[in-house]
Amino acid sequence: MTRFTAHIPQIETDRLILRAPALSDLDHLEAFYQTERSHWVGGPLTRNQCWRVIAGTLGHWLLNGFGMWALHHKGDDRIIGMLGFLNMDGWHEPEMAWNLHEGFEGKGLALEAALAARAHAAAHLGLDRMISYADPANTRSIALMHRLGARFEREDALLGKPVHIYRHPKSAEVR
Amino acid sequence: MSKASIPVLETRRLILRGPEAEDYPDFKATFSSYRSRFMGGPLNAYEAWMLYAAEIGHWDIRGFGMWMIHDRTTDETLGMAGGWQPAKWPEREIAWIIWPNVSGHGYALEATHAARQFFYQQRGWEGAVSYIDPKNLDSIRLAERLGAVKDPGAPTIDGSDAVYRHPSPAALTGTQMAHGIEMEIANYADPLFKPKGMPLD
Repeated sequence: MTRFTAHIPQIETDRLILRAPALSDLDHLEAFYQTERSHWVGGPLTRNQCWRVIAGTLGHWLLNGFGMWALHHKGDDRIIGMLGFLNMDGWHEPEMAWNLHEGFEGKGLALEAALAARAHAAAHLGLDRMISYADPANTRSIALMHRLGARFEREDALLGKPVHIYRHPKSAEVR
Repeated sequence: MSKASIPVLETRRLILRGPEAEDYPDFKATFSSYRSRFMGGPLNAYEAWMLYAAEIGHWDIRGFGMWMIHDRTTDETLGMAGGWQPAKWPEREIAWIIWPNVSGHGYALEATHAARQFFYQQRGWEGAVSYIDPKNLDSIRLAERLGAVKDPGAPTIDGSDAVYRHPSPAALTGTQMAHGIEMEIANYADPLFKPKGMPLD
């Protein structure tokens, strides 16, 4: 049978590969979703729920034609975070989202991946001037919004929780 | 993108196809209701969407998964049936769920029998189990109508479920059990067809 993942594009940056998540990521995802860092992105999750994250991410690509990538360093297949685009039941519009696992923050990796993914989305996926949701207390993520040129747009609610919505610039305006 | 890679199964009354985006509202209606209490529900909107996406991703990861059951004539969805094996599942499971407003017509029996035959005949499965909440009497009854037998020694998912072991491919080839299942399905499709030995319930 043809694997769906064959249709998920792979992106390379200077240091990173963005690829489809795989079952081989399960152990690292489970470890991440037991850390406090995961509380910003739906954690903590059980192993079975992490399995559902992998399967659900693959299904998201099939249902929407876009979705989240697993991030890893070139030359080391270990997943270090996820980044990409979400549009699920309850979302206002497609969102650019990310998370980085413990020990990989502060190196500009999310910024590097986000710039490449955002350019890919504008060029190939028909997604531009996207939003990103942030928990108002998630200062690290909000700092990254600013580095990406995203501007605070409004307060709203996502799945019953208060969120701040940031709007990314149009890709043509990003130099 | 690749719905074509999920096989399509046809039975007398049903068509089984991979889950598609337009079927999601039907899925959500059942999985956000009390009907789904034995399948991990009721779920909120986010959980329901993630599970639906995971049903599709399951095909990609395992090479098998759950089909959406459609009425052959109206194309309406009736429920889901197929194979299921996420993390922590000791064995491959055959699973089903029927939307509450269309239960009682034998759709789960017909769809699950077809799915099981596909896995046995086309995919070389030597057997399968169903993990069922002991309070889910409708599902236990269906497992028994499919010839599955409670296997008290088999490993469970988390100790709260009963394991029903399905008959082997050989036990479903030209046997009295196979004929019985097919006769019951035929009776649902054509209630006037009442062969000798038809179960009364």
